[in-house]
Amino acid sequence: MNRPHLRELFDAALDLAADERAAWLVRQCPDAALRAEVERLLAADAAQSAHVIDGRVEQLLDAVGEIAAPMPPAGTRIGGFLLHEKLGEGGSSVVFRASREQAGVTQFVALKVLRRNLYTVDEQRRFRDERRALSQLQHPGIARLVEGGITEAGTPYIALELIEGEPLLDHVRRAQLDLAARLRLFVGVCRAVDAAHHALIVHRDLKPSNVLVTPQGQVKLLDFGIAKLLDAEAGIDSTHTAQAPMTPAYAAPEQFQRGQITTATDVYSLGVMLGELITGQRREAGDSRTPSSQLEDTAVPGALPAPPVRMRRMLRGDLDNIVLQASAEEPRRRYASAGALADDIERHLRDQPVSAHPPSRWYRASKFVRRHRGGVVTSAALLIAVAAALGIALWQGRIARHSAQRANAMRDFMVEAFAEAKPGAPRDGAPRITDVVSQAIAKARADGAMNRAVRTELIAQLGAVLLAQADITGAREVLQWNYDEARARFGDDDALVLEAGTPLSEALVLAGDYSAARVLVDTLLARVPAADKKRAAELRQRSAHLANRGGDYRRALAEAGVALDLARASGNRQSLQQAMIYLANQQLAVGDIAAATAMLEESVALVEREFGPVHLKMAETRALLSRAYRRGGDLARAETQIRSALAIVDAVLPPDHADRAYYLNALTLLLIRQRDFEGALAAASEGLRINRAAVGDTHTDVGNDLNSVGALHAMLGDYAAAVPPLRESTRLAEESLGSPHVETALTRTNYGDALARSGEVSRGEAEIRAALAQYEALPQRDFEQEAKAWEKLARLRLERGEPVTALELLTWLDAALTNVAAASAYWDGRAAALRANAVLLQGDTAAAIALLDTAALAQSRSNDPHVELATEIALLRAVAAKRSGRADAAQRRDDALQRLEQLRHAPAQLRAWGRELGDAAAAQP
Amino acid sequence: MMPNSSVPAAPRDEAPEAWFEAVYDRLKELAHRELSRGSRGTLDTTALVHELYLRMNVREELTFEQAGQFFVYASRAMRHLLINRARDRVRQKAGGDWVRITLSAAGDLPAAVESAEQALAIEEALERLEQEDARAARVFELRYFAGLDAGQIAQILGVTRRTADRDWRYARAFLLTTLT
Repeated sequence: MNRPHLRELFDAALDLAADERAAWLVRQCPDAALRAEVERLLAADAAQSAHVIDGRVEQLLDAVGEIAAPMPPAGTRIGGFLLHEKLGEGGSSVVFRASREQAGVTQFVALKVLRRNLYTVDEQRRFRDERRALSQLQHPGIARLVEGGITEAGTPYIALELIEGEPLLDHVRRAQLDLAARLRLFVGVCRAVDAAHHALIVHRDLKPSNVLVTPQGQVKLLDFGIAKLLDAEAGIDSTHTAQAPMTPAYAAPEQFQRGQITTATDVYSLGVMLGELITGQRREAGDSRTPSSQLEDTAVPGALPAPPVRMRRMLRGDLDNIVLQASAEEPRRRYASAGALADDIERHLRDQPVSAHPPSRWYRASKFVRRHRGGVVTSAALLIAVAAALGIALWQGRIARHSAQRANAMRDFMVEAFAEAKPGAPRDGAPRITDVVSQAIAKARADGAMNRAVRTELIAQLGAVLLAQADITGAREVLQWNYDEARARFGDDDALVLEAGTPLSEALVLAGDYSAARVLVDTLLARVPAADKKRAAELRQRSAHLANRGGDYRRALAEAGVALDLARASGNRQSLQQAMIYLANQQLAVGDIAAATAMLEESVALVEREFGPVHLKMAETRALLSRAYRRGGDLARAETQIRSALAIVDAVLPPDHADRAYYLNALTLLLIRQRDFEGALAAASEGLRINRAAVGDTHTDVGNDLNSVGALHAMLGDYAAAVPPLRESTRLAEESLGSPHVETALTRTNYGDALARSGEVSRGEAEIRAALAQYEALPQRDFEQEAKAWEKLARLRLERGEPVTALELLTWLDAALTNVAAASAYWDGRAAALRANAVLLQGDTAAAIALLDTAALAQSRSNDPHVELATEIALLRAVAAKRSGRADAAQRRDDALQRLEQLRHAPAQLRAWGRELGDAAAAQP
Repeated sequence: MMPNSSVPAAPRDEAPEAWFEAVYDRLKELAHRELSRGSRGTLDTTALVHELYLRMNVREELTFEQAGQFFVYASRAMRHLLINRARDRVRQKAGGDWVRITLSAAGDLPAAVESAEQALAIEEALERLEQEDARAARVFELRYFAGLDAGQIAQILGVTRRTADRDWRYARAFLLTTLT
């Protein structure tokens, strides 16, 4: 029991000066043995020893070293294969020749046994995933993966096609291949690597010993993707960083620096290999000298394809540049792909100029290169940022109702999904959000172990993201599945069913399946708890929208009002702002411009108070207010509002943000209304450019912009220019929205019209008729749009002087109009004017005049004065008066010509009537 | 893989052995990768332990009430790693059933065996110290095996810096006298 005493004595002695300790100890500790022990401790404490415990444990750990798992001897069976002799071994694996009997045939393979066992479920899963990817890599230049697996003891193995061949360098030396033959062989290597890259597999450990040449002269690459297979942490890290075994002499700088492994990593190794193939010696890392300057006169015989002096001459220039560019330190300075490297070598073989530049010119070329390769690099950084942002957003949105653990689970899942996302092809650059999200959804669906509540919520969120990205078909399928799952698992009354159903209802609306959406929205509305005012407001708003689409504008208005009350009660300012905007939209839909304007002016004040004057919500509100002013005919105020919305966007968002395109669309509509078609075309074109960059070439917004651009070209009379964008927008709509769909039919109508007017009459009319068939197949028909399509067909006939068929078409137009719920004076005027045009062509001026009186009356009653239609009616009246010799002919002519003069961009038909009336100005195109 | 509700989270008293095993497996994994990188720099324990900490925290395999608890486990795990390697090495010298392949960069077998024996001696002395003065032994573990400094150790163990410093000096003196 004297031990604690030992410690006390030691501590106390340490408080004394060294020379006082001995005397003090004698006084305090009569026990000589104990005293001696204390003294030994004090001596040890004072010693500046270099004992191993004064160093770092890693030194000792290193010195002891690690002993690998024991290797199975020949004769052992692994995964059905019988091991024969050892073919070779590396740091992480041993390769055996192995065989198995299959259907009476002996199959020989190269069986690679990993030294390291995979114990955890995660590790084994990653191994299997990777193996599956590799088994799909089929190329004559790549040794095929026959099989792979994990033994019961946890030892992973891979069976590869057994290649009878010689390593690349041995082969060229033995066969004494000349330079051209070596280069041709190497092109084959590059092509095989390129093929693997297109399958999204990076080799990571390319070196001459991994390239065999068969007796037939075919190159065969070994171990493709094996390095990653061996990389225990590949699936865990947030980026693909270099962790795996690699061969230092051929490894790219980023592999040492744990940088991002991309296809450029393999390009580097190819560059080093090429250098060795043509100079007989390996380039050192970081060596910037040209290969030709390193040729030694004393090179090993046979290593060089030709004597050194001749070789120097042959390498100088192109081949020097090719090797240097391929093995550049910075990934983005290398060739954009293994294929590009092969192309350059082939150009050299054909004595054509190569693309590789001497180093001094790389800088000038760097912009170009960055476009191809830098995209990949920046995308990783971007992805991480997006992942973080999205993770936080999910977290914030959910924290109130759920434990932080669940929120974190979702965030982590998303971060991982972003990290794992792969571009469609190695050079496609950043993966699109829809790709990432779709992959994440697939993963979540397949993950049977995931907590069901978390999964339901996660998929609901992700489906909503897909919807926002306009992948309506995909979103609908996923959300429907999620909703059905939630109902089956939790029962109809569970809050999660509501959670899963809400985005589904939106998807159904966007997909145009209004009847299914109605059933779902009504079901959800019946279940939503009274306390959840925010969700009730959202669902009520959707119900309003459905009423709107069904043509029941009164109900839509009433429900939008209820939604507004709910949003006000929810205390959620975001909900309130949305509800106000939505109600204003409904008011606009029923033509209650004054109410909408008042609502929006109130909303501007609210937004200013809650969010400040320079806020995106302000931009949204002002843009809609602009629309209200435009509809009310106050074009000047409309322009002020939309321009200030755009100014907010410019101040708040980075240049070329997608939101800018959204407001440019509103500006486009306003400028069209002002008949500034050139300005509108410029705005639409800018919107198109932004949207293409921001949301990708296939987004519905891009389709919409293409439609605007095409339609504007048509309005400006340039039908040849109108056809291509309209063709593309039709195709896009067909692909992304499907058919039948209102938007698809709408743009197809425009396309057909432009086509017909550019000379392809029958094809154009066929397109319009196809669009009409689509309109008629819609679950909720849009008769006003159908009327517009009939009108387009009728006008084409009228302008070709075919009144009889035009009149037939006009009866279809009338039929459509009888179904338009809010029949308008505007359409009455329009239909009468068209019919007048037809009968005038038939020579019945009296009937024409009667119809035109009706048209003029209807037009004057319309609360939406349409200047082009008014001009058309005036011109027709003047023409009819002139032809019938009426007394008021001159007065009508003056009125019509004055209108025509004020009408910017008058359509060709109107100008033709102007000419008939004797107007010189109208004769000008 | 996504962490989910099946992952044992929560009270640290529940299953410390399971946690310890998890920490140990991951550490072994990381150490193996570091070493198999070959001669490019030696293992950096401090970095290793911190890397491990980040990974385990991020992945929520384990939820530590205090960061300190993690380092206690990590240092213990490192100690086990050393001792297991040392035992393997000594056993290898005695001759195994199959041919074993060394991954050590040094490749100097006698020196490796000597180091292994030294490591086993340290372990033995440390076990004795644990009997005598458990806290001092813990301080030594955290400093030598997890690479923490006296300030960090004091925080983790909830003692003053001076105490942590004294414990270290006592532990070191104890081990040195025991080992010689």
